[in-house]
Amino acid sequence: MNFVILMKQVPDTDEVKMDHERGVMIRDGVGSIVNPLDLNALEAAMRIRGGGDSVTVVSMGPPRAEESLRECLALGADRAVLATDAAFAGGDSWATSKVLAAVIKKIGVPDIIIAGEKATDGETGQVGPEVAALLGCPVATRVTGLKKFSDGIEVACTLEDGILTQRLGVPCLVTVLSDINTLPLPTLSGKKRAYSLGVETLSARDIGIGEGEAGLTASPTRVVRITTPRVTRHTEKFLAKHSDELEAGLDRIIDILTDAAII
Amino acid sequence: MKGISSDGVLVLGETKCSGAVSDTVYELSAKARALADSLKSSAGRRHDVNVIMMLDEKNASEADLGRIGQYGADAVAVVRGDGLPFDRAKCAKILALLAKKARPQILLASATAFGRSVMPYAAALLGTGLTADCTGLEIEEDRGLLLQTRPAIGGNVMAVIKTPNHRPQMATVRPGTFGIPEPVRGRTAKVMEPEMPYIDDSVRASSFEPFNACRAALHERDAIVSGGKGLRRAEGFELISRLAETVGAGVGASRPVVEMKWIGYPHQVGLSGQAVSPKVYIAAGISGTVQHLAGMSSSGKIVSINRDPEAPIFKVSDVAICGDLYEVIPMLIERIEKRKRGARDDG
Repeated sequence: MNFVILMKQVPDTDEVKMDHERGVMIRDGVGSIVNPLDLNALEAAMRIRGGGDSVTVVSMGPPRAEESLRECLALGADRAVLATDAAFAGGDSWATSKVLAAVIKKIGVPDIIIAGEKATDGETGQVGPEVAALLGCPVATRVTGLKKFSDGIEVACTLEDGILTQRLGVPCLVTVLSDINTLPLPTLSGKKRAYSLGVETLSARDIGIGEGEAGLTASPTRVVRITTPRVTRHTEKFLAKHSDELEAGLDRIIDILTDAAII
Repeated sequence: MKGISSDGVLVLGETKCSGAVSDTVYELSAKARALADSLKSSAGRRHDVNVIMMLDEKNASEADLGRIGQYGADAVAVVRGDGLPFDRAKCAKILALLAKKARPQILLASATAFGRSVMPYAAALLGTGLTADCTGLEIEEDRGLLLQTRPAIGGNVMAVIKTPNHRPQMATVRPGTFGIPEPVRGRTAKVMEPEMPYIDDSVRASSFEPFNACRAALHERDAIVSGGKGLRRAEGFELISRLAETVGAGVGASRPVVEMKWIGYPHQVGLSGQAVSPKVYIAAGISGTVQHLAGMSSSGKIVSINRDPEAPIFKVSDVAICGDLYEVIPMLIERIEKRKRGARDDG
């Protein structure tokens, strides 16, 4: 059983600061990390892979995404492939999925494709199902349990209101939540291994993507504008240590619950 | 296809755990009606609102489905199959087929586990754009395009997105964003079963184990009471649950306490959990990280209880109580119970 892991390099969100005047993210000096759920995706493959199975990590991004792919190699992946081309820049989830699907077809469709449920920067959670559609394979999202089952896999998905257990044939694509496993720490031997393996890169031409078929120009969606949400709430603050303020505050909560017909 | 040929608005509906039509279907049908009316005013004729329901063999009765009409739908197309709603790829293939025939300008679904897996799959099959987890939808005046607003960068900014040249314009909508209007009694939607070609199952077997005998999921709740690190111990959730029960609310949580296993992942609100938009959100012992705020700041009213006077959650709150939640919440519960008894005595 062979695996492809879809990985995205994202800004380290714990370091994200906002320029509130302009409503944009301050990227200067912010580090990049592997999207955390993609590490869970990789670990999920490491845990069920057999001795002869291969695990390939695929990413689309700028050249510096190589660092993040090296990190995946250090964690046990056998191969890392980076689709990088100026033509890919600014793509929405559909344009990105087209590139990732083309890479997977180029390197060979594996049995199982695993991705994080969503990335911490775009947070659309759409690329997984879109890649599955472009490859014409089944999909399961929000997976928190994964095991081999005869010639396929059995997954447990944590939905809003219960656990869905499904059996999927291969090839298939699943997206995982962090509950699926706990992450191992990188080891020195892993880092050495990553150094010796190296990252392969593919351009638009390498995967048969023509001019205007990827990136911003090929994206059906367009960002019209970015606005900073106005603070529309007028906060009434009550200090509980003053009993009259606390009483008044509790009264306000009762009003709110009554107005909303909750009680 | 007979019935739902329209260039209006199409809604992909879903059922609750119990098999009944989900409240989000009423919410989206009403919003779809409003959008279709805006399209009409720009093009001078009426556009239909149609709903597609993928149902398990026994889910949702015809009367239940017809009632969607009270919220603005003209017709409801029903596709049934054993375990169909759980076969996401098959649902997406059916949706794409129906959308190709009906040629809607707009296709909407809720940003639930169902909507967020079926919609992107279908969008890729249709080769069109999809905007995730929208908290605002309106029709652009000059060109009649759908303006889709969604929180971005952890909810710090709102991005307005459109799909200028591809159809349908697709969006998933955060449940609870628009609320459910009063039904128009006497209206009913035509229920039909469109002819479908044979489509293979994409999954072999599915079984579903509901949490707590189908108790309403977080996104279906009108009120949510959430706890965070300020609870200081796992047992604190007993108090949170008591308050939640008193007001009939769902129980939410911030990421750190889910990671510490004080409560399960389905309760997690925020960027890496669920985005919710209830009428009232009560945050107890939650400081309000960017990640948490992104998942709840669109709620109707926000109440927060925190010991730290500088807690960021206070800035997005309507009512902020600065104090120890272990003192404040029992008093609040008592006050609500007294109020409920009073209301009963009056009635």
